[in-house]
Amino acid sequence: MSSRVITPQPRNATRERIIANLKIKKGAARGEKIATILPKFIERKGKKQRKTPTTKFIATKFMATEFITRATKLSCKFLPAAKGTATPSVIAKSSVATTIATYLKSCYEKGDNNGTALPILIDAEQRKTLTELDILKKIEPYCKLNEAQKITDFAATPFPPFSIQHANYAIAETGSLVFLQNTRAQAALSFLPSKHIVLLNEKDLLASLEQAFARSSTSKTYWAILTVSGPSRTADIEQELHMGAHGPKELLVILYR
Amino acid sequence: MPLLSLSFFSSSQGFRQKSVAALANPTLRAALDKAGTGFLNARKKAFDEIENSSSIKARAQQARTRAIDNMAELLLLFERNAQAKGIHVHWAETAEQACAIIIDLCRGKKRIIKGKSMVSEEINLNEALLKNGAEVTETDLGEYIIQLANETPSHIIAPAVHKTRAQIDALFRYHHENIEEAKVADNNPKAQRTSVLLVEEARQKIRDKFLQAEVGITGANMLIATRGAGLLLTNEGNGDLSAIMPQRHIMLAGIEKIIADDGDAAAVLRVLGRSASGQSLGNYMSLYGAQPLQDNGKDLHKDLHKDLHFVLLDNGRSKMHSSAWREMLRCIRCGACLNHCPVYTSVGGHAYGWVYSGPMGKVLTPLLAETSKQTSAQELPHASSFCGRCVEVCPVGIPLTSLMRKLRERDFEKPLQPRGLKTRLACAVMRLLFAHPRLYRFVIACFLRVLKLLARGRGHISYLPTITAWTDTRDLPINRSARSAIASIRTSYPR
Repeated sequence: MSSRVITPQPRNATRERIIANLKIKKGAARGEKIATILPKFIERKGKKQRKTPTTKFIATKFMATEFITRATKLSCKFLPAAKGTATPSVIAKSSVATTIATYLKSCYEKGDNNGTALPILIDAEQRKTLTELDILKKIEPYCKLNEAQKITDFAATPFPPFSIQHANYAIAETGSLVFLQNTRAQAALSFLPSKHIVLLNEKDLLASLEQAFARSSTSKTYWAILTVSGPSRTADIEQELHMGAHGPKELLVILYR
Repeated sequence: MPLLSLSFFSSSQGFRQKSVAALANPTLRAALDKAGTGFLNARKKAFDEIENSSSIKARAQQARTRAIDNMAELLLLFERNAQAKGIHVHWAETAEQACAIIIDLCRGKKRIIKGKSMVSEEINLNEALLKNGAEVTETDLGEYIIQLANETPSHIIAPAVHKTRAQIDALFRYHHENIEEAKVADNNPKAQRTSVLLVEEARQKIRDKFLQAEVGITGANMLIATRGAGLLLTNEGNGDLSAIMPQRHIMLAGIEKIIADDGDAAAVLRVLGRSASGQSLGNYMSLYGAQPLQDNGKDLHKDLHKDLHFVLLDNGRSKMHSSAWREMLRCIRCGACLNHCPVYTSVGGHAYGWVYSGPMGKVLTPLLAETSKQTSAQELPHASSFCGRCVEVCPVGIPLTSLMRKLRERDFEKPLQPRGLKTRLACAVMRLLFAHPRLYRFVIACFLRVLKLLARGRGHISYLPTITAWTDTRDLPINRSARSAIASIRTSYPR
C-alpha cells in the first residue's frame, strides 16, 4: 500500500471493444494500441486553456457585494441579521464570536432544545481555527459541543440541530460556498444538521467557477470538493419550492474580514 | 416493499395509444398544467439576467463537442487517473453487464440507497437488485414517490411531475407507518396534507435509510478526465448523502458523460442549472475522488472512501458515436427540450414508453441498444410537429429535429415490418404524379374543382371523408376560386 505504482490495467475485453467502437475516425485504425493513443492527449493538457466567458465580470472591490446578493437570492441568511431592508455586510474578525454567540443565545432562549444546552457539531480538524476566532469560549454557556469523528457517530443523533463549519472559499459568480472534504464525517456536517452555520473570510472570495477549480488543485489533502449554494431544497411535489429536503433547512453565513 | 416488476414496453401499446389515454386522463392533465410554465419562466429569467448568454452557450457546446470528438482518449485518461488514486473503474457494454457488475459490488450487502440516476432507470437496476434480495431505497423525493407508486419517471429532472399532491398524500398514508396524526392538518385525519408536511415526512423516513445504508449508488453529471473524478449536481442533497453515508459508493454513468477538464466542466455547469430549473448552479455540486488518496506513502484519507467505484455504461452509445446521430451524445440531460415541447407538455412522459421522454427521448430511445428493436420505439420520431422549439432551447445546440428526420428516413428505408398495402399504393401514386408534371397539374386541377364544389360557397369544408382526423378539429379553407388556384399552379409548375 505504501507506494502505489500505476500499473496498466489487465486486458479488459469490454473496454477494448468500447474503445474500438469509438475510434472509427480518420487516421485511427480500428483497435489501435491504447498505449499509443494516451500520450497524445496528455501532451495537450499542458497547453494554455482558451479563455472562457464568465456570466459577469466582477471587480475585486465588488466581490463581497456580489456574493451577498447572489447568496441571498438562493435563500442563504447572513448573520448578524440586517435590520429592515438593509443588505447584510461584512463584519470585523473580532466580532465573529459575539455574532454567533448572540444568535445561539437567541435560539437557546427561544427554547430550540427545550431550554437545555444546544448540541453543536464541529469539525475536529477545524477546532484550532474556531478557537483562534474565540468562538468556542463565547458560545459555551448555551451549547454542548460535539466533534464528529466517524460517520457512525451520527447514528445516535439522526437529526443534529446545529453545525459550525469554516468554508475553504466561496464563489461570487454563483453565490456558493466551497468545502474541501477529507473525511465522511466532515462532509456529513454540511448535510445532516437542520441549521448549518458557515464562517467565511472575505479574502477567500473567488470570482468564477474556474478560479474555484484552479484553487482546489493547489491543495493536496482532500478527497471530495463540495459546493453549497443555499439550503437543501425540493420542488418535486407540484413544483412548490420547499427548504430542507434532506439537508439543512437553514444556511447561515457569517462573512468577516 | 413494493415490487418493482415494471418492465418497460410491457404493454403492446405504442406511443399513439398511450398518448390518447394520457390526453383523456384528467388527473394527469391537472398535474401537467400545474407544472406548466414554471420551468419555462425560470429558464428564461436565468438566461436573461446574464450579459452574454449566447457566448456562454457556445462555449458549453464547444466543451461537449471536444469531449465527444476525443471520447476514446478521454475515457482512457479518466480511467488511468482514477485508478492512480485507487478508484475502481468498471466497463459495461450492455445493461445486463452493468447490472451484473453492480450486483457483484453489492454482494453480501443488503441495504442500498440510491441518488437519482437516469442511467440506472435505463438499465432497470432496481429490479435486478431486488431480485437479488437487496433492499433499495430511492432518495430523491420525486424518485421516492414513483418508487412507492411502482412507476417509472415521467421527466428526466422532475420524475414525479405527473403526480398531484392528493395522490402523493394517499401514497404516503398507504406506505408509511405511524404517521404523526397531530401533524395532520386541522385534526382531521382525512384532510389533505400540505406539501411541507409531506416533504418533512419523507425526510424523516429516508434519513433512517441513510444512516443504515451499506452501499450508495448515484449517477454522475460529468466525468472529468484530467482529474479522474465524478461530478454530481443535486438540489436536495440526497446524492451527496448517498455518497457519504455508506461505506461503498458506486457512481454509474454513461460513457458520453466524459468531459476533458475543469474549464470545460465549468462551461457546461453554467448552462446546465440554468437550462434545467433556472438555477445559476444547482444547490450541491460535488466532485468525488478529486484528489489522491495517498501522498508520499502516507494514507491521507483514513475513513473516507477507499471504496469508490465508477461503472461506465456503453449500451449502444459507442455505436452512436460513429453514426449519423453522433451529435446526440452531446446531450447534458437538462430537460429543457421536454419543458418546451408541445407534445411532451400535452401527453406527459409515460406515453413515450421508456425512461427518456420528450424530444431527446424521441432520438435517444430508438438508438440505444436495449430498445432499438422495439417497434414502439421506432414510432417515437414520428410523434413530432417539427416546430423546432427544442432546437432553439438546447444549451448545447443539438439539432434534434434533423436527427429525428434522419431517424424517419432510416425507418422508411429499413422498416421493421413490411409496409401496408395502403402506404405502398400511396407511394406509387405519388411517384407517378411527381414524375409527370402534366398529369400532376391535371389531377390537382380536378381535385380543386371537387373541393370547390364541396365547399358550396361557404368558403370552407368541415367534413371530408378520407381526412377526418384533420377535419374533426379544423375546417379546411377553400376561399379562392378554383380557377385562380389552377392558374397559380400553372405559374408555379410551368411545362
